[in-house]
Amino acid sequence: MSTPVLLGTLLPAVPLVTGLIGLLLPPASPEAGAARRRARRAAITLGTTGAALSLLLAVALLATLDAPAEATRTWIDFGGLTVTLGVRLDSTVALVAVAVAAVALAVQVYSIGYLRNGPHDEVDVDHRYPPYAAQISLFTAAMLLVVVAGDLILLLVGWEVMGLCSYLLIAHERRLPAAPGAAMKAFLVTRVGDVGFLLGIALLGVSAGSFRIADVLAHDHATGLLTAACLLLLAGVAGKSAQFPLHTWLPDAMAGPTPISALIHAATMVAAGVYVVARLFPLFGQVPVALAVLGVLASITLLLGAFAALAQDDLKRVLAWSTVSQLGYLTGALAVGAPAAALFHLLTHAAFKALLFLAAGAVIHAAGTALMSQLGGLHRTMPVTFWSMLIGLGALAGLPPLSGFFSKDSVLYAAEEAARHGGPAPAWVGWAVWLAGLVGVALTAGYATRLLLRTFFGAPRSPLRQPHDPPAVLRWPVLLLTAPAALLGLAGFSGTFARWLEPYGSATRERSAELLPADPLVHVGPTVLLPLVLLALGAGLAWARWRRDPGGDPAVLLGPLRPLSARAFWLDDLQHTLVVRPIGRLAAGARTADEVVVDGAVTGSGRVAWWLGGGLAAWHRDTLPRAAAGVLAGALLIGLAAMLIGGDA
Amino acid sequence: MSMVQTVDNVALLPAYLAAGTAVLVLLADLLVARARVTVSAAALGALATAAGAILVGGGGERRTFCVGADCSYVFGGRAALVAVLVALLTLGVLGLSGPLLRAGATPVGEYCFLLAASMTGGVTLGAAGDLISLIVALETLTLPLYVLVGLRRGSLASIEAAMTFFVVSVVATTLTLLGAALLYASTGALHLGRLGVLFAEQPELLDVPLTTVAVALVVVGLTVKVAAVPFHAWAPTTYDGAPLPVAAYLSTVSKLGGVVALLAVVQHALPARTTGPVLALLAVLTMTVGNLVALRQRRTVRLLAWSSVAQAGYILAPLGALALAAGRTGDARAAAYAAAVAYTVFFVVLELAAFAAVVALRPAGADGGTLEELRGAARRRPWAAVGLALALVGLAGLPPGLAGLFAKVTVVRSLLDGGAGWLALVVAVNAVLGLAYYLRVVAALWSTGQPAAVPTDPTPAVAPTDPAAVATGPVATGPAATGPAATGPAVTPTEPAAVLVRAKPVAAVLAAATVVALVVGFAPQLVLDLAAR
Repeated sequence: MSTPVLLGTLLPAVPLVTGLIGLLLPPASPEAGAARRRARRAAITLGTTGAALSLLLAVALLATLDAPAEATRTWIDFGGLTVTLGVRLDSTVALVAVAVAAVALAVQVYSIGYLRNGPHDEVDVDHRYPPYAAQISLFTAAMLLVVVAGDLILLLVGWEVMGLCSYLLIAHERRLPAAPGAAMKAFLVTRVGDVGFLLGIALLGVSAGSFRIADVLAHDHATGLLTAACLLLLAGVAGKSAQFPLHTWLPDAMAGPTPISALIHAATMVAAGVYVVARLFPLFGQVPVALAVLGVLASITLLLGAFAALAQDDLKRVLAWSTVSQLGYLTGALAVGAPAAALFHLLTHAAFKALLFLAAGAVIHAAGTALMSQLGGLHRTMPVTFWSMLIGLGALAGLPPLSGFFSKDSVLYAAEEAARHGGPAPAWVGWAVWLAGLVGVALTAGYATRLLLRTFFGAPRSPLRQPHDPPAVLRWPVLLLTAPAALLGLAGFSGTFARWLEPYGSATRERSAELLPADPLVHVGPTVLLPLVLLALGAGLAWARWRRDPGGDPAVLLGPLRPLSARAFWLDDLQHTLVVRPIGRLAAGARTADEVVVDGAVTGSGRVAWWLGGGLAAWHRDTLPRAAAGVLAGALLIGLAAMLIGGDA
Repeated sequence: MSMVQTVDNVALLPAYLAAGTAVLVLLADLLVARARVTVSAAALGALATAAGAILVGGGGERRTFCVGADCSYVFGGRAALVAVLVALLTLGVLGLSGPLLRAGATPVGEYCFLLAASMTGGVTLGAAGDLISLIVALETLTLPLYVLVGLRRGSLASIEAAMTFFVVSVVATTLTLLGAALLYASTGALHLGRLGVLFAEQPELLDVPLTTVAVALVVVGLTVKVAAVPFHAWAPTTYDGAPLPVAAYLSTVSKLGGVVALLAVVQHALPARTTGPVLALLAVLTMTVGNLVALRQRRTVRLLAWSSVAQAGYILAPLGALALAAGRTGDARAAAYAAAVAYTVFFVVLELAAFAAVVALRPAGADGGTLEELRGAARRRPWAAVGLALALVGLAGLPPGLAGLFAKVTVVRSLLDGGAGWLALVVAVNAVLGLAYYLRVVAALWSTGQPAAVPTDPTPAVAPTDPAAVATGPVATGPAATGPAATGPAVTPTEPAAVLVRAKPVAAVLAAATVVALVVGFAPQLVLDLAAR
């Protein structure tokens, strides 16, 4: 086993092991005291060690990996269909793994301070830290498994475990009435997509005769089947990566603790869908229909998310909708055939979104509320948080030279190219993504500016508390994340970096060898001016409105559209009417049928079995004589039967 | 033909080691007379036997005691697998015996000697090449058990159990011997291979009713050892009356021995045309009756006993596929034998884990107790409860116990390959029945509700509590057995954790069996490959 393969295998294994050990710690103790503190300390050690080790492993993998590597071992052979255990490593894998592990480590460290009984807490609350930290470890392990998996079944395992952990983590805050519902919603909505994902994987696996990704990619699939499989996979991707119309779970998932939001939104769950498409891009590239569908979904998601973010009052909901919108950029880049640009934006987005959520967590921690109508004027009292947030929002809006600017530019450049010269997808897809992307730039600048002004400037609107910068354990993760959020974009100038991000460099070696080194991801040209102008426009409008009324909400600019934006086009209500209620009624009917018909049969047969068992058991009371008689009678009867029937059977 | 045979002593090495273990234990008990030394000698001997079997088995097939082409002792892959399993299971049972031996009602030297003697039979059994060696090996395996079952001083239940076991077993051996004699009378052969060749070459042999009856008698006699219905009635009483480790031995090694003997005659010697229908009938009866009666058991060991009756049905089921012509092709036969062996391996591992967990959950030297007494045990002994839950779930064939799941899948697949879809259906229905009582026990482990009052109708086996254990326990062994000596239904689940067994070997056996079960659950191919050899 070569070093990279060993590292790649250990990568998901380490957090898995620490997570499983963590689950064994006593989850909650009725009384505060030494036992709870000890369990909490053990959980902290386990969680941070696991995350730090996987970060080390990921960095080592990035350093040692010089060529794509793959290792496979047959797990079980189900007669014709082989399931393998294997890893498939290339530099993209290593980069994404570094991002995942880094965010996981930041979240683990941050959670130490965030989930602690502060002096403000009136009652002694048991934060149930051990299961929480263990679930984060498992979540990380699942995502890393998706990242390194060399087999679609293995990838599916990671994918599903992630769904389960997200459910548990979103529901962690028991005191919030919204949390269980939000967790259930996230689970069910992503589940709808996962059905498609599972079917897509099954189709591909059966068609190729193997679930190994290398085999699936190399196999020459029939066109119809490939189209069906890709569209089915897209359903799963839409669920996990919160694409319209399956995006509704993401804003609600804000009910989870803030570090969890950072984890889900930045590098793990929502990135998984995009990552899988990038990984299987050689397949998607052959199916223009799937790319067109993806492009349309991406454009809608992008605009919908950005527009909905404009009028939210909750700090975290603004960020959540901004995630939806940024995911539109990612899938848009995939739709126009630029997986490298998508992965570039995925990495920068991971950095600045994690930063934004953790900084928002610091605000919430200090001010005790997430509603912007009760915040304001924090830039004086919380300078560290303010500057971190400024960098994060700048990167989000695409302010040069912060990272978001370069990655968003590479996405827009790819879309423009596709619009003008065509690509794997039809040209109109390129136009749609490009135009939506440009409008999105202005909207993003608008809501980022609004968030900054409403939270950090103006007069404080809740003077009761004295907010202050968070303690070191919260501050350091935020500060360390500012570095990649600010600087990662510059990596886009490097040709090496671009080559790292080209997935399946091995599959298209001859093309990449001559094309890519001279083709970095960042393109400085006159087209850069257009998004810059739009950015200035969006930010300027929000600022101008705020100047006129520092206490008011710049969202009033939206006029009658404001409720539309605040309720995100009433899509939740639509979903409730069209899907939830009919299904609820159907379920009630099914339940009645089940209870009366199916259960009736089952309990009936259960009763018969119970009664039979009783009769037979009664026969066995008087053991020895009956046992001996049984043996002799059985031997006699069977011997007779064998003699009479003979060997004619 | 020369009257002087060359004996391949290397092939016999595992048997020598096992027999040597018994002698060593006897000597150790006689000369040193310290319990620890005796038990260690037995354990070391079992380990050495396993190592020897691996060593010899790795070197290809060895034959000895040959007359012409027929050999009475064939040590190949299957024999090595059986020998290693028997030795390791014996080691496991020794590990479980700590609390029992320390409780003082059982003589240590005799106990270990008898176990080692029984192990010798098991090690030889897999290599037996003719009917007489086979029966002698099987009896060597069983004889010491009659004594072991009744070894607890002053326990009426033990005596009753031993008596039942003895009578039924002797009747069974008589039947097998009668069958073998009739077979010899009609064919003139005793070697398994020779019989197989004869039946293949002269199908008209089977037209004589005597031959058919002989075949049926041999099979019936051997199925008594695996406790197949209707030859099973000894099992629950015997298991429940025997000390827990002996019950564990009965349900693992003894059952393995029966399966191996049955496989040997069915695979190599007897015509599938006759054995197939008999085995199919026995499999259906065994699964169904075993599961149905297990539903109504209130005592832990009785439930395990009935469940192991039912499990024997699953083991026999793939062989039942031989009843149909489609099941008699070369491929289908190989698949059926491999499935039976694989299921047996999975089963003995899980069964050992289950018994180890019961031993760990019960007071030292106590019997299995009732299910009520296990209620809420998970809060007192979480690890042991998790082990028991995993083993039971594995026996039921549910996902966390992947070993059991793959075992059932293997059986069903071999049945479908052999065209015996109806039998596969019976297996599936029985698996559902099995879920009911396995999960009931698992649920009881985590149940928080107050146990119902004392069971209203104590079964006869409950009544004879160990008066001797109560009387001699504290005196004989001091602090190790003070509290727990008060065994029987009087012990309430609320007893303090301190008086429960804290024996390290038991925990080690439980952990090892659980780990093995988990490992073969995740790498079932290992066992399937081994079983197909």
